[in-house]
Amino acid sequence: MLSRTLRSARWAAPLRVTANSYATARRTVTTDAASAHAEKSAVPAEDDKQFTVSLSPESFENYKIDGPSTELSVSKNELKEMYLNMVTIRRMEMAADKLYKEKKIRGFCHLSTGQEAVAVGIERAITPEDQVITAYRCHGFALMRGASVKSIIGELLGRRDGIAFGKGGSMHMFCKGFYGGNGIVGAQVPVGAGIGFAMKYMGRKNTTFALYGDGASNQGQVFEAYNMAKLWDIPVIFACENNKYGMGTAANRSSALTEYYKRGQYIPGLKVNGMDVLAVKQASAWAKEYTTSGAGPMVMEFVTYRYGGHSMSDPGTTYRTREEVQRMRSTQDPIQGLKQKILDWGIVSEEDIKALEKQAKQMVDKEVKEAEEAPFPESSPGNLFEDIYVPGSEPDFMKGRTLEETHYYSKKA
Amino acid sequence: MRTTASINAASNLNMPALSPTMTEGTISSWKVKEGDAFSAGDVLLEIETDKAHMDVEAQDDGIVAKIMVKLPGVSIYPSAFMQLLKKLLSPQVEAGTKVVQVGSRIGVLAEQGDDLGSLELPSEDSPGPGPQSAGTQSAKKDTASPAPEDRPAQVESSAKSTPDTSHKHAAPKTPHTSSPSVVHLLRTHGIAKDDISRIPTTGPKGRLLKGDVLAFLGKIQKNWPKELESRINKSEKLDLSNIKIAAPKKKAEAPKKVEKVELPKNTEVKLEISFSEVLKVQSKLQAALGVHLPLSSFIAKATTKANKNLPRSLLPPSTSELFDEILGLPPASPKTTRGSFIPQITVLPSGPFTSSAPPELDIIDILAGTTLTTSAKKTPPPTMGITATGPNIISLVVPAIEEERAKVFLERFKGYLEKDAGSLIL
Repeated sequence: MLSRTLRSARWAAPLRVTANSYATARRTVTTDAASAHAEKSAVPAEDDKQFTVSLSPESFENYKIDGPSTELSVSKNELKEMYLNMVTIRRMEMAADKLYKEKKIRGFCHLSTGQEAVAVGIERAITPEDQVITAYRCHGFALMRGASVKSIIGELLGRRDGIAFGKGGSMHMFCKGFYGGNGIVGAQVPVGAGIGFAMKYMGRKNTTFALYGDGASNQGQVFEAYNMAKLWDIPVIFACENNKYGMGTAANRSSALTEYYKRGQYIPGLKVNGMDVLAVKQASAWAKEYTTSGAGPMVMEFVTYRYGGHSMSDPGTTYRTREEVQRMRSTQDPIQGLKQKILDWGIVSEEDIKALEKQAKQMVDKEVKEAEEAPFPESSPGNLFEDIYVPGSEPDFMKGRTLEETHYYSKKA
Repeated sequence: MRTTASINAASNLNMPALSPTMTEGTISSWKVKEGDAFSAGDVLLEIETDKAHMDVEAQDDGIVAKIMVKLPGVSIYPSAFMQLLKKLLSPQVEAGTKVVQVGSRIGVLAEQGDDLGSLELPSEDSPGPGPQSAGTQSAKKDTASPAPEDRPAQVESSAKSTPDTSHKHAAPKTPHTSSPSVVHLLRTHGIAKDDISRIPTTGPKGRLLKGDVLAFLGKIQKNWPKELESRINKSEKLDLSNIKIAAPKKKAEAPKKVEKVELPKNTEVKLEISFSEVLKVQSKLQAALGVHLPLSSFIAKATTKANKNLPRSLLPPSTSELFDEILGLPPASPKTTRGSFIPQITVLPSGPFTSSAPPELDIIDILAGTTLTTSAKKTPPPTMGITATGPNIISLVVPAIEEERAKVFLERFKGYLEKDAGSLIL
């Protein structure tokens, strides 16, 4: 009797799995970077006048929630700016790649080529008063949050002009409203929940984006943060940048559930086409609205793709084919997608695009050159012992290794 | 792969460092030709390093303007003769094709739409081979001159607190920061700045070690740091030259010996007994009282009586005896104890009295393959039960050390049944 029950259960299971996978296959989010649509006649002549763009209905997938509208209003200026931003990030990452291969950048370096739409789209949806915290693939976010190319590349090169004075490197970049670049996998997620809690505590109508990768999504602390955030209705958006590969492993080989937007279980989720900057903007704006309205946290998943390896020491072709990368590059590139759209809608001409690209390239080249020429930090105790405390709150002295190395903050070295 | 010099339409393609430890590489093959257009992500060439074969991808769209370092004998020099000629004509190019240092130019890339014919080739941005490592450059600078602007604060601050120790980083031989133990030693012994540079160093890359200072101070033997250094240098690399391949294991091993396990040996004690006396008493009782007392109750009674007050057992004390001892109860009699023998009674039609029979063939003997001579002489199988008329055999199988005690028991048992059967009625 028991064996018959077991057997029938075993028979039932595959059927259910097939049905499920079929259902998800039908309802999956597109990764088409150029799926938005706008009537050319609806595009206004003025640069700053808003007009309506309709996104593909497959741009979002919702979990326990109604989700954002596919109607989005933007201005021509915004679109141009988004394009410029994405090209600038791409140029900067390429410059970092080159410097790394020239051995001028040492240590860790994780590039986000292919994922530019996420950083740009989020930034276009939030204000400087909102907060962002992310993992170590952080150059693009740092740039969007207001850091200069010079300070980012300078940081990679270990220069005094770097954003963390040359002490942090690729993983540790901070500026106002941006809590870094964090080196420990997944550790930024509970910190992000804490920042969100601070927003709630201070009564500010601001949200926090806590970004993490698909590789980090299986960390236990991510789920601890979910629990607390839901328990206290913290305005935080847990945003998983699913670039389909962790460090050397495909997402479906490392995660039992690859629908990361459903990972919140009791938290509503939203899956977004992370290759379309407009979809990212629309979803992020909606998520900000949702979380700051007091409804509690939200889980987002940006489906995106990275062209490079996980880090500089990963060729990136051992766990996926070069053809796959090239196919994504040629068909789903976020920059090419937006370029095609704004050309189609008559917002820019080919010459304008060339000019924008040239502008980005020249800006990046100039700042990279400046960063390369910038000095290394002086090896003085003053430099070593700074930044441990907020200026003005230091103790009288900090101990070094020996008595002579004791540093007195009052005597400015 | 673009240089930062934006003025140049064309840019140099330098040998990339594809891993943090790569310093040089060999070009296995070019996947593009001069004049080819490529798009971002395309493989330009394949590089072989000491660790792996790796593809170099284009980061941006462009055209291959010129390939500087080609493969010997593959694309342009088909014959060995031409190779030789090429070697003679331009040895430096030939040297470059073998191993290319990271950072040296291997090609020139142009942007799409550029006219290759009128293109001005940019100058090589890395003069000479060798990685343009910022780290090494600065390190070199540090070594060359102690760079006064690098350290003033350190010297100044330490000079303020303890003036005589301001020398500690200034030893020209040791660009490294000395370890705390060295700094401490130098300070406590007040070694002057000039003297420090005279201390022979034995550490890696000329680092001053604690042992060096101790030897200088005469606290340890002068030659000890040198000895230690040579020992460390010797054991730095694992010397496997004297390793010999072990001989194959011998197949034919001696057959395993069957180990004899010492089992506690048992012996059998036998005694002949007649039940005629008992039967007499039984019939008398039947006649006088009309009660039939079975033979078994006579035997049981005799067993109980015979077990009383036997000489002390040589066996280790039983648990109940040990328990009594713990409780402090004295044994009933220090010399004698109660036995627990139960005799086996068999009918033996004939045969003399034997006190202890030779041990029968047991399992150990069978395993050992030894045959006992006595086993050949087979005794007729004894039949269980009691016969009233003929002689019976009472026997006991006991451990060897209990033999004496068993004999005493059997004698008594026999005595009760043959001579004192009347007392067994009560």
